[in-house]
Amino acid sequence: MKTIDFLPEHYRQRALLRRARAWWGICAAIFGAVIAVSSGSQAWLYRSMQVQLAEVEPECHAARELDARFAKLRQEVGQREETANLLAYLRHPWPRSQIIAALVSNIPASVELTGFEIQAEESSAETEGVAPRRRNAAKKDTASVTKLAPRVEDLAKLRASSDNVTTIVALRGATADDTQLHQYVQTLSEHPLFASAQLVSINAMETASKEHRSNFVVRVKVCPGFGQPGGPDIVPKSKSETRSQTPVTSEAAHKTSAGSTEVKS
Amino acid sequence: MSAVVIKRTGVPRSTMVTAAIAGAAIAYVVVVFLPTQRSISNIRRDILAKQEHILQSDRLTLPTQQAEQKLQAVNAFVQRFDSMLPSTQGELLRTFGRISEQAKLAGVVVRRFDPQGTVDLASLRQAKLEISLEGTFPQILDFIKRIEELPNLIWITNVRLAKIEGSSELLTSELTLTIFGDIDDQTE
Repeated sequence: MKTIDFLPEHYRQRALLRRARAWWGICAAIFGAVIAVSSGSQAWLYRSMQVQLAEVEPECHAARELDARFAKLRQEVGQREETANLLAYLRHPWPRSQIIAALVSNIPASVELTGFEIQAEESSAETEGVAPRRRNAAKKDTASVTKLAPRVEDLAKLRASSDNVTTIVALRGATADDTQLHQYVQTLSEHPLFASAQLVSINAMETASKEHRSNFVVRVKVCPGFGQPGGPDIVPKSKSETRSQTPVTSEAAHKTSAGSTEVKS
Repeated sequence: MSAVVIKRTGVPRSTMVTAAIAGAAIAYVVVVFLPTQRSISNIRRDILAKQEHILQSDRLTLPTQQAEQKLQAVNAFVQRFDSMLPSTQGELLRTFGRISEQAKLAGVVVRRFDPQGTVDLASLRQAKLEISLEGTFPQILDFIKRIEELPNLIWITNVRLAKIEGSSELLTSELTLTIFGDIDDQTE
């Protein structure tokens, strides 16, 4: 059986429109709810982040202060170390009294010294084996002095002028017993303060009593001082892991080493 | 009436409403949601960076203490030796006076006391001094020791010692000294 719809067309249109409005309302409500939920969650997240940020801020401020303090400390240490390095280097030469004491402490009875001279002598890298790389570095430092702080500049200049210089002692004297003279030279060469000792000349001379005597010249090379190329270690090598070459340690080492030779006049 | 209007324009009303809702959604996403999300991400990044910074700073505590100790040690060293550098002409002359005094105390006779002028480096001043002495070996050695013990930074660069003809005891000695001074506060 066929159903006949007698209702006019605009009635059907109105019903359709009502249904469509209901759907639009639902869609709008869902859309509004989604917006509300997302906005709410975002606002909550944003606020909690702000709270976290506010909590972290004081600690971060303290950390920044610590950073700044550390950086300032490092800078200060660097600047003071420049001065300390220079002052420590100014103390590098071995005390002359120790050198003289070492020269005369083991002198045999038959050997008589008539004079000696302690002087600085420029040494060549080829024959002396002095760290040429370090010397070149010092020369380079001197060449670029304009970029350096005054203390560093002075240290570079002093290094350039002193690190390639060896302290030499020229001993003159006379002996009646050549064997004892050779033993004396041998003793000098074994002394920790001296790098080498060699007999330069020995000339026999006639005395009024016809006694055999010889004039001699001995050349003694003094070891480089602390902080110089080839010089003693500031801190023993076993502690090299933790060593900080502060001049304080260098000074202590200098004193200990220099003080080990007693002056016998 | 409305159905008639829809028919006239040719666009169904439902499509218009859907388009309006979609437009509003897109506008919300672009104008509100994404910028807020971006600022949340920025704050999160900021927090993470700050937390990382705090963690790294915690590791600086020990080095800072070590640096402080080192600075103290270096300062003590520098202060001790800085005071050994005469910084004025007057102080330098006082050092010469001290050397003469030590010669007297050691019992040596000063034959020549010859300041050789000064050489200025960037921060240091080097004053050269040549001295000729006469005395016995113990006296001269005592004088050298006394110079080394003076509260100054002095290099004894050259030492010449020789016997005096006709004397069994007396020696003549020539010393070349370099006295270091500070140029920083050179005011006189």
